[in-house]
Amino acid sequence: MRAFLAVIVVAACKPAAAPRFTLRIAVSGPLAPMGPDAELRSWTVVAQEYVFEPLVNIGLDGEILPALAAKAEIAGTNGLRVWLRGGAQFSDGSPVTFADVADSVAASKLRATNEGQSILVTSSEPGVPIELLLSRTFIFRRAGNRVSGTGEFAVAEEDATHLLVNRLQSEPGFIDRVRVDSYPTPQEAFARTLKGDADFLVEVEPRWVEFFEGVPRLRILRAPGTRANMVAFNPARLSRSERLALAGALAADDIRRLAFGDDCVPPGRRPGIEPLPAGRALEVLALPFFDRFAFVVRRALTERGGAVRVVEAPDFIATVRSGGFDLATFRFLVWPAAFVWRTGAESNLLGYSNPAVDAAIDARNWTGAQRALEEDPPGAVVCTPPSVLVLDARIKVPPFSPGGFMRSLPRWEVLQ
Amino acid sequence: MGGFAVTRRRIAVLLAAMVALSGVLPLGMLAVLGVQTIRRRGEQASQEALRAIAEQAAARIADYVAQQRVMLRALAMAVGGEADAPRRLQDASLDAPSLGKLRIVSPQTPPKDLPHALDGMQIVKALSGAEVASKTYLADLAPVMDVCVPSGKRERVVCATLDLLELQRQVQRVRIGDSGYALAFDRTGRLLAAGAGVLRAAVLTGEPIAESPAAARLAGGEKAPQRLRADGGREVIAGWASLPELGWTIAAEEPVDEALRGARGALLWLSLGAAATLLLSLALGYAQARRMLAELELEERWRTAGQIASGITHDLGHRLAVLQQTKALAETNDAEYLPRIRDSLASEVETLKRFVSDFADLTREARPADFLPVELNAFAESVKSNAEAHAAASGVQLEVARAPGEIWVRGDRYMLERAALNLARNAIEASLAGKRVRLAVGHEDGSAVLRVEDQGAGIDAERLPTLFDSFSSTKRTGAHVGMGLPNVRRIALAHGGEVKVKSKKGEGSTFTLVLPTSDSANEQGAAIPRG
Repeated sequence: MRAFLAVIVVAACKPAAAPRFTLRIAVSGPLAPMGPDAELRSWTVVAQEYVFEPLVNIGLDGEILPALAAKAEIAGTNGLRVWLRGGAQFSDGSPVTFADVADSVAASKLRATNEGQSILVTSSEPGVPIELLLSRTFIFRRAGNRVSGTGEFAVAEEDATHLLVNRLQSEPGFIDRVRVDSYPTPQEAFARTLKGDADFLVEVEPRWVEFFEGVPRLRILRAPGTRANMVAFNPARLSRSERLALAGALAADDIRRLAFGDDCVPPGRRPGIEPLPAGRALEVLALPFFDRFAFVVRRALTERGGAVRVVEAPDFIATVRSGGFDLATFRFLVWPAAFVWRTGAESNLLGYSNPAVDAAIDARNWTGAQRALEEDPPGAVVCTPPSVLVLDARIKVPPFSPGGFMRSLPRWEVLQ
Repeated sequence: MGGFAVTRRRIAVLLAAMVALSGVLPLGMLAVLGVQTIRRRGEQASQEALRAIAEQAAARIADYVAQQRVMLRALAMAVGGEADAPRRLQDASLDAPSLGKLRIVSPQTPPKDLPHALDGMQIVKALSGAEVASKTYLADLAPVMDVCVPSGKRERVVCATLDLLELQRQVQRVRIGDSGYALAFDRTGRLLAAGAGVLRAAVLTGEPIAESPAAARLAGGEKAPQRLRADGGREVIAGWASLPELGWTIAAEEPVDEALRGARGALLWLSLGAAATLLLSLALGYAQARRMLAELELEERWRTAGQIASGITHDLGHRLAVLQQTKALAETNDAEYLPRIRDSLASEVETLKRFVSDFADLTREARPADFLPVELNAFAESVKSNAEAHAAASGVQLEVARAPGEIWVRGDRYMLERAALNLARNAIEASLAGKRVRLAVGHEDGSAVLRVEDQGAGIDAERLPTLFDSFSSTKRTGAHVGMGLPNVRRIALAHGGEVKVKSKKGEGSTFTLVLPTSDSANEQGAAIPRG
């Protein structure tokens, strides 16, 4: 009887179960259907990594990090051998098989070979490290119209205006559901977050941050950015010595401050400032939102600063690809590391080619690749703006992770 | 004496309350006036402070815009006429980002490059050499304004889209107290900047907020309210300022409870002080009243003791004289006097017995808890039966006039009977032989009454007011010491009733014992004595 009473007392003293927490993310533009496609081109991507997992991820310095694969090792120049996580299964409860991996990587034009305990994935695409390709390839199983992933969440509802993913196994103290609400414009997403209709706003322009200051229910988070503001040099028009001199001339702090303010983080290693040799005036190509940056660059180049040509994005890309420019100001992906400058890489818009960089990338010598880039620079990184997010103050500040905050969302703690 | 103690306490409380109220009422009125004054002054002070804050913010904003325009004019005159003006303006905008996008406008400028908030007429006016400015509008979430100024060269002006983000910042930075803030509106009442984070969504969406109508009214030259209910239902005190040139209205707001916290603190202390004063007055008044009443009571006791002593001395002296005469007759040893001696002794014994009985009645207390139902018709019959012998001896006819139906009262039957018998005996003694005394039972104004009516000589009108006072009887012969009627009144009062008298000289008197009626005979389930 006493034991029974004790059980009742203990049960009565047990704290009530915490309410399920739904994180509401405000985005803009129509949402594409959730799937493993790496090129979703919609804000559906904010929840993609919670539903699907790649075999591996890439760390800040290009190192291989485990994901669905518990272990991975480079195999030759174009191969990666992986060992799947024990007990890995899809959201429908079925185990992950070699066939699932083979089908998934085939979508990225990769080939999988069953080695019993391990799987060897190889690429036929030259110039792009296999781990980079695999970090962008999600493993899935398709059954009819339904596609399942191995992430901690599964899609519960979706249409063009909203997406709801639920955690498969509830964990007290963590986010249970993620709801992505899409609004017609970024301004409306912004306003709805201020109003309290959303708890999370991703990629807030630094100029907008002030709006959220002093709003008690929200906190502003800054993470290291992954896209740098840089001035790209046309390697076909500018010699190595000119590019080195330009990189030095554009490394001044004044340029960074004048164009982007103090929040923008300068690169860790900067070239020495050298006088720019005399020569013809260099035209600066710019996207409309980067015209100020272009004016700053032009002024910094003094006599060698030529006209500023502001063009829309399609013209900009076409002009850069065709090599019809001297200097181009734009925001460029700087993570993962130096992959983007591999000769022939899809992301290498400039057509930059440096055998020393290629060799270092092939050898996964990221420091060597970086050094080779500094010695023959494709451009000058002026600074990297932080990634600014506005998040519900009840969420414990999450740890930074490669690629920004978002990847660690399943581990974000909810403060009671 | 217990009953008197309760009365004394009540009287003390009443006296204390009267004293306290007579002092506190004016004080209270003064306090109310003080409270109103503090409240009004507190609110006025808050309103003035908030208006000053709004005006300061407005002045800063006006200065800022004026500076930007001065800078633009200077720049336009310096470089606007040069051949490389576009490039120099672009460079200048790097150092003066608040001037926003700077450009040369001339008649050849394609429409898509014209400042879009200026209409055709304004552009023409600008090209003719006048300075023109648009209304403020939002671009990229910040308020902006298109301004064109002359360049010094004919039909060539310098236009800028002034970035007024700094103004938004100035408004957002204003902090008043713990949670007060400033707001800025355009002339339509649209919110442009808000110090309160939750309201900033309205800056982007253009949704009106609670203050929007008031801001629009102020921009239109009307008066804006100084106290209003803000978004979220909170009542705020507001100070307003307007910027006619920009068409902006600035509001500085603070929640009422916060703004009047100081005044409310003063009010609280004032109220506490008033309450403490009232309590102190009551306590002092109570203590003083009790002391005075105790003194009065003591004095009254001595006076009563004197009256009693006087009555007793008089009565016993009379009795003593009669007994001395009887003793003298007895000492003659004359058998002829024996009947007189016997009658005299019998009479004196009876008188002294009544004397003792009257005093014994005085010591008996009526206790309502012990009251029992008494049926008044039966009770009257019982009284008649007890007084019958006395009436017969006096040759007086005693009769009962019953009421139709039963009439119930609650009381101490013994004491009620003592009272009724006293009245009956008085009536008999006041009547000549052959006359009639009637005990009439009935209702009067919702109460039960027992009337004792005689056909005696009546009572002098001047004696009636003091008839029920102690030792006021004029019948100090026989068995009367003046305690009968006072005792009747005491009993009646103890039963929640009263005793009344009507008398007319030569026609007789009617004494009425008035008692509260009781609803039923079974109220306490006790045995019901019916007489």
